Amino acid sequence: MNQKFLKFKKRMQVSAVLRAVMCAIGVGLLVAAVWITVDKLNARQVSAAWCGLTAVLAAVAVGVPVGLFLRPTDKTAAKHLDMRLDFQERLQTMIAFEGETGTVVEAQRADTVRRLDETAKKQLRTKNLLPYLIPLLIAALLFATAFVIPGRTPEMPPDTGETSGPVDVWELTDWHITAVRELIAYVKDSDLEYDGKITVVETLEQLLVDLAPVKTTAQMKSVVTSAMVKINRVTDGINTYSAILAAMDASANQTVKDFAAAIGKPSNPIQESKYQELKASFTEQSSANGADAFASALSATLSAAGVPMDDPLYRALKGFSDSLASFADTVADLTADEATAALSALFDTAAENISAALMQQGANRGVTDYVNEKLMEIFGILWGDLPDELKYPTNIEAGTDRGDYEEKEDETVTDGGLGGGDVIYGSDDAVYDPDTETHVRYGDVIDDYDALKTSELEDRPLSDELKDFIDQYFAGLYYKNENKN
Amino acid sequence: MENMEKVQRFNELIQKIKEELGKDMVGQADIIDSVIMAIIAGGNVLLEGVPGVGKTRLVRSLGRVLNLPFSRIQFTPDLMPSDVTGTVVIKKEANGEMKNVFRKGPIFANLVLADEINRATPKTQSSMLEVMQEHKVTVANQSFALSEPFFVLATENPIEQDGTYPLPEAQMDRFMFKLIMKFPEPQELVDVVKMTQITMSETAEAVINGSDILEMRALASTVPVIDEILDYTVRLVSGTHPELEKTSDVAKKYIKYGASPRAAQAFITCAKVRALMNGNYNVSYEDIDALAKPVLRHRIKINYTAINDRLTVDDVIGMLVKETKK
Repeated sequence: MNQKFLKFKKRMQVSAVLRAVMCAIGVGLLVAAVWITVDKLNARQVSAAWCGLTAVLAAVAVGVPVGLFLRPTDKTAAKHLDMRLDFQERLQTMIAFEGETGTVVEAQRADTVRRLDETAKKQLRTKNLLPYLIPLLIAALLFATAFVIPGRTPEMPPDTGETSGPVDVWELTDWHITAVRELIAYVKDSDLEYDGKITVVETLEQLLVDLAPVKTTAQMKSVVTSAMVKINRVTDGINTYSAILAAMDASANQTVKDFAAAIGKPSNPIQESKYQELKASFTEQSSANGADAFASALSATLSAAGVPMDDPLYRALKGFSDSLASFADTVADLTADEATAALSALFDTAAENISAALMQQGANRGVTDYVNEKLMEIFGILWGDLPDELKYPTNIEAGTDRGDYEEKEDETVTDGGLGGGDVIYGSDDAVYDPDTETHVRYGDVIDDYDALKTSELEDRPLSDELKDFIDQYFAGLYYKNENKN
Repeated sequence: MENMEKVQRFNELIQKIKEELGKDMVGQADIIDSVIMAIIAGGNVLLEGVPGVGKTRLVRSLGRVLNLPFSRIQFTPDLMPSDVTGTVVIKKEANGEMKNVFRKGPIFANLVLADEINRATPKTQSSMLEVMQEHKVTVANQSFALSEPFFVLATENPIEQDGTYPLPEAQMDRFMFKLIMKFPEPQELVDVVKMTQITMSETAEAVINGSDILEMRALASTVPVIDEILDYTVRLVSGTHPELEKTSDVAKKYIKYGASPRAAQAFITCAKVRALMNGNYNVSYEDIDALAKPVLRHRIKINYTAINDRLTVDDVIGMLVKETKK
């Protein structure tokens, strides 16, 4: 093989390697530039390790095939040289027919070698690397530019002018659980009737289970108010005062109606004056007919009330009615004084029994009302969050606070945002104050938090964008009315 | 160096032929080169040109230079095949015996000029087929070989198309080249007139003989051709066929039917001769490209789209060469 040709081929090999390396470096720089730019535009931290690894892999993935593709064989080198020197396929023919004999073949070989030997060295230069250098420089420039371009900052929430405040996120905390468990213990120790007690305790325990997966305040309020309705209906189920009272008020017998007014209400059983008045009218008369008529009417009324016969109030009233009926049967055998004393004793006994029954029912209502009030306090339920059943209870035990209900006005969140309304707080949740080791209303401590925030922002080296973000967050929690003072 | 001497002798002989022909022919250098190329390659040539451009003179001079018997056949509509090939005649011997004797026709020469071949009937034209292809004549079940080298130069008059019989494709394919002799340039015409004022006869002298031609032919056949050029040639010929899947856009648009495989053989055979004639020792792409028109123009037929676009067959061949990648 001609030495000049071999030298040229070697030069081509070196050139091929150089071109492959330049391609590889260019691709690697380009990949790195794209990686860095994408991360910056997406406000992500650039991972140097991953970026570098990807760039190297890309470089190798491109460089190796390019190198293999550009690697010259005798044939390709001959073709390249034929074109460069306008040899009209002489070298290619010489390579293809290497080793063959024949007049023309040998003459061709000799002629080609002669021409190659006459060729100046400078004509045997390999391909210009400039076409590969320019893209490499461009890739390097893009790589450098990727470092220079500023990254995007995280997007701030848009200021829509409305009270944005904190996001509606809620979760059951240990404090909530402790508070509800304390409530359960209270119920267990309370005077609530046994059946009611079981139901309320079960409802409270189920409430904790239901609240565990809740993630928003709205969901929490829905779950809690549902439990409150259940608890409220417990007393509605076991207290018979309203049903009996309604039946007595509906009775055609006036004495029964008067008696209903005289026995009072669970919060204030036995209206003494009315009761004594009624007692006096009976004892003065000492009439068997009157007693019998009253007893019958009362008994009929109790039957119409539709309450369980083992209910204490029912039994107290029924007992009174039965006692009156017995009196009516035996009054003929009694003197006037004995009759008066017997009636008086009947009324006194009835008063004791009715009073005890009413007080029990009062206690029932008291416990369930207390439980619901505590639930409102624990979970920050506002009056406005309650369903109508709890807002406007229909079974009113006359004389309870619930009987003279008024529509309450909560401290509600009004529209307006900054300077637009009353003092409003994003949440009425109780928060734990470590200084006092108590739970306090969030709105009471937010001023302190705001002051703490302000001093921290002044001292800490945070970016302006982050400081603005924190300010906006607190603004959503805490607004002041310019006209308040 | 012996090899180089053989090749040098080849070139020297070519040069001598050209010089001698130059004594009788003015201009037409390309035509002369192509005819010499065809003779050495062992092919036949179809020459198209108007009357008086020197077609007959060329063949006559060639006969003198190559020192080969020459004959001229003027084809007319009433020419019979036996007028070309020869016929069997009954001859009376001295002893009175009647004997069949084959009288050779004008085809029995080394160089044959078939003048205005398209004026003869197809039957007479077909009598040339066997001769041109197989270099033998069969008459009365007897075959008579023609002496080598055998070369037919046929002419076509492009003017008088009335009363002519276009050559069939099968016969056209037998011609290695179709050359077009153009009207001489003014200065060339002046030289022609001056020359023929001196003498109308050919003055070229013999410089080689038939065996030299055969040696040159054998030498040319050994010129190496790389596979890439063979592949290029095949793609060029395949690219003339519009019906093929991998054909050229030119063929799809402008060609009605393409060249036969003989075209590829003609390309390579003549390219080898051309390479040697140009002092080269291998076939190059340039050799193939230079032969495209002479080899293909009579083997392909352009369609109406080409005619409508005012393209000649040479234009289409030029486009085909440009489209075919090397």
